[in-house]
Amino acid sequence: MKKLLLKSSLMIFFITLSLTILYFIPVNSPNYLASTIEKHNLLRKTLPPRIIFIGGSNIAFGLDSEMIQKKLHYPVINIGLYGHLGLKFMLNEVKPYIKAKDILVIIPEYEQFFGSLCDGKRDTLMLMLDVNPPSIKYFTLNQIIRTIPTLFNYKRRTLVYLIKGSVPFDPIYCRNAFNKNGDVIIHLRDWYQIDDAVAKKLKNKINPDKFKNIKELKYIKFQKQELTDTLEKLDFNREEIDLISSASIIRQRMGLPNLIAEKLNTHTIFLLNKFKLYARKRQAKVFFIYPNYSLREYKINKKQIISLKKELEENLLIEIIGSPENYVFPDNYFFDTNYHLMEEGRKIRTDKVIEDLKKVIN
Amino acid sequence: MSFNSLQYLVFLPLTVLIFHRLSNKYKPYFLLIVSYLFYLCTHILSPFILLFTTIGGYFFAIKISETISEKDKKSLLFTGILLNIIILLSCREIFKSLIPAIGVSFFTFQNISYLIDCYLGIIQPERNFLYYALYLSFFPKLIQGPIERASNLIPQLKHMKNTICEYETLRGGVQLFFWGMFKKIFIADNIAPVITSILNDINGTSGPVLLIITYLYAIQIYCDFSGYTDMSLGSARLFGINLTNNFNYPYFSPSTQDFWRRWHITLSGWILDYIFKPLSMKGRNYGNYGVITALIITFVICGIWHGLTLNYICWGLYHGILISLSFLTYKKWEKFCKKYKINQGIIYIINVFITFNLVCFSWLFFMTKTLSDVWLILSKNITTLLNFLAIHSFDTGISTCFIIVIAIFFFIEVLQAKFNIKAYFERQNVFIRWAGYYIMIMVIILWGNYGSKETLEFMYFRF
Repeated sequence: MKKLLLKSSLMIFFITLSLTILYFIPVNSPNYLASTIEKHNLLRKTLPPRIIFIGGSNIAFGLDSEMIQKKLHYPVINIGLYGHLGLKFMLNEVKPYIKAKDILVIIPEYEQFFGSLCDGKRDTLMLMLDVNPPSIKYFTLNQIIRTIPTLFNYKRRTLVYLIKGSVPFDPIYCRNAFNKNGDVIIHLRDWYQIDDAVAKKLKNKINPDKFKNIKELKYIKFQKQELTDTLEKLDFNREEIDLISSASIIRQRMGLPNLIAEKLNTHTIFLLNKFKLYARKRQAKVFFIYPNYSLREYKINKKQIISLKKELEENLLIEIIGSPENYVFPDNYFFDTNYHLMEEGRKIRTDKVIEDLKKVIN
Repeated sequence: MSFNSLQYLVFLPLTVLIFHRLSNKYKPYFLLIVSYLFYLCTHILSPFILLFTTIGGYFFAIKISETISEKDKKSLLFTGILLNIIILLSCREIFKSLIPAIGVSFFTFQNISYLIDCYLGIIQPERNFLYYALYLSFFPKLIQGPIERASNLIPQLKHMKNTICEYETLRGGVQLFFWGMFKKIFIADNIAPVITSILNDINGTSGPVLLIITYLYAIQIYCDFSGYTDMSLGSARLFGINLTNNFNYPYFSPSTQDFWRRWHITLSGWILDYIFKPLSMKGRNYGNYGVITALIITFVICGIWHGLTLNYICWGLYHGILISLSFLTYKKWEKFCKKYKINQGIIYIINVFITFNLVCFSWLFFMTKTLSDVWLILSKNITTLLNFLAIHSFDTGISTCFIIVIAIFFFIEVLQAKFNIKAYFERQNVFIRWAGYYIMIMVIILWGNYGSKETLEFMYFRF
């Protein structure tokens, strides 16, 4: 028994050592969440006083930080990435960087106040660990325990990155979708995708045999020039290229309405209050703004939003600017979800944020 | 608590450590307690069902052996068997939402075999309740078998007191456990999501992909179940117990009869002894017809054991027919081969190829929920085979690399079956052996598919 124990311990040691080394090998991941590395660099390098926006993808897709910077004369950092990381993680990752005179603007998605989303989704936290292992220091003990069982499920990608250098990725949800302030801007362009629907539409207009050649391009999203170049290489003529382009432009549509069915979680308010106290100690100001939201979703979740508003007004120590209604936009302003604004909506939303912030900053 | 869960990876070494530190007197008691605790993790009511079955089996067996009148003996046996069937049906079909007693079909079958063996005088009933309870509840085989015979397990449990903790035995147990884990977590669970997603859209999936999925499912179910068995045997060996192996390279069988001697060996042994033999004895005056009827009934019952659905019944019927055909034609086929002097090796390869394909198609009944799905896949498969040259895409989402790994795995299985590659590996120096262990564990950790509820479950849990 002793011999087995000794040998097993030795093997466990080797395995643990290998995994630890592997885990901390820096990886240049193209994943959307890997942009956290650039965002943290911004937090590190930008001198205070700064405006830091904290939230999920509603701020990543729906804010024009450059415009805010120009109008309010503060450097702006948009730390927003993905709601499924949970508000707990979002607040924790900003804490070490808070400096005196910083202005922290928290704009969480409504779902962070309902159910357990503020603790983060396990798969998203896992992915974050995979693309940026040092982010483990922003995890709570509970989050670490939750992610351990599948800790290395994602890590296999590390090896793929190391071997191949890069892997195919979604051109919109990717690391280079952001501008230098941390806003997603890539979705503001037109995107093209050739799929079965396109093939069906063009059935009688393009030679089917020729069209077969582009089958392998099925799931790739192109920008206009890339699509033209690719089709030219495949011997399509000008007229055919135009036909394919006009048929394959993607108009992103929001998915099914998302009814907030879970119970209000007052723990999120407790977290925000704790964060406020922490920021105050560091002489930074904290404000709360409601997220942008589509009219369709607002209508079906109005009851929950009103109850949340009441709860926040009664218990939140952070100053609330504006109202939920102020940030409700028509559905056609949205890209692929009820939080991701397209260009027009993004501009109006940013103007509103600027107006609201002007009231409290100066 | 599943064998591939983190909890089990803590539970097993702890149990083994404590077990070997205990004085011999307390070892069986300790194992009984941890077995019940293990079962408690599946459902709060499950241990009570197990206890009830155990008490029933224990007393009925003693009563049968003490009764002199043959008629009374028979009625006791009948009542005992009926009681087990009622428990089985209640948990599996009638009250399955209330009492999801996982593994109930395995321990009730053990109980039935024990009662029959006692009735036939093959074994004497166990008077010590502790050993009988441990025979039914021993945790490495509790949930998914092997379906152990009392004559094999109880003597080992009784001699457990004298178990010497030999390094070689323990090492063998650990190796087997991890090999099983490799089969389950790396191979079966990496195939599982591909199959699940395709089965959700059978109509929209092309024939070639469905054809590949049919074969992949055969690999998945084998790696899942045999992986479990290896983990089970490995766990038991850590306590000095040798359980019966359930698999003997079944996909290399040259006939369906042989397949059933190599697949789920303890179940096929059970149905052979307790269903087929009595039935064929009854039909011995009817020649081949009697044997064929007995075979078909036996396999339909085997199908029903897996679940009371049309799919399982048809699966049983399909195997019954296959074995009957094999029984009727095998000698003629051998004669034909001898007559035309066909090379033995070629005959073997042809036989294995045919058997493997016939078995793969039988898994369609397992893979799908309705017979119409079976038919849909089958018709698409046939169309694909008929239009083989027109195939454009085999894209299932599984990487070529993974397919190569599966091929290597089966190559290793062939080597193990023919040349005992494991023994060869054991003779290598420490660096090679350790490199082998290291690679296997790293592959499981890095490339295994684990952590989700979907992957935690073994396929045979539902039986």
